[in-house]
Amino acid sequence: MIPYGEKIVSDYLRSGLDGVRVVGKTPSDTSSPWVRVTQLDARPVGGGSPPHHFEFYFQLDCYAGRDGGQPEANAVARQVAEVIGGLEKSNHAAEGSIVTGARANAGHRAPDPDFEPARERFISTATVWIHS
Amino acid sequence: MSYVPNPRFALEMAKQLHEELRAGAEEAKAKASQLAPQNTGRTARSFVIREDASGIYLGNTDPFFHLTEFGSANNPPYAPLRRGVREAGLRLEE
Repeated sequence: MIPYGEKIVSDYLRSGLDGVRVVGKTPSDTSSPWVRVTQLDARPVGGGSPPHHFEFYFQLDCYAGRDGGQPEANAVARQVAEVIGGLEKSNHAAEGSIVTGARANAGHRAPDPDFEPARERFISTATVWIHS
Repeated sequence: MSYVPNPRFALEMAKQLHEELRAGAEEAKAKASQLAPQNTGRTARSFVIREDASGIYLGNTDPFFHLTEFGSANNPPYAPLRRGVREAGLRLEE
């Protein structure tokens, strides 16, 4: 079975981030910073039948809180990249699966115009390899 | 047996490389169009390939494409371009 990548990564981020919520959709309260985790892709790698090693590709939207501005969004993105880097080193095991590799970038700045004024945001991506 | 250098080697390799890159871009464009939201079809129809001296580029001319690709608070990231490149078997470097 394909590992529950979104939960594995989200739970790990929650354990490593300080003062930043980790969510799957925009929270109703946007006053404090949050990271929205969206799985864009999951595909088997390395052969084998049935497949048991998968590459997950995530978008991580790192938002500042209401008053945090660009510095806060930037800090969230850098924290996220650091935590994801730790995920690879830890060989993290969860949900019956093991993380075999992970990498993330600190992303690009893309203020979100759905807010008035636009809310500062960094869009990062992460690739995580998980063995079921 | 003797080695006979091909004076046209660099030119022939460049031509072949260009053909491969172009084929890859066309495949990624087709995949991205399939993965784009199909409500009006505008985004799916707006993928373009451009070439210049420095390379071959795949993009989208819809002025709101960045919202489709990366999402916003009220819209998920559909990411048709990034997913299309991966679906085409190409390696996406960011």
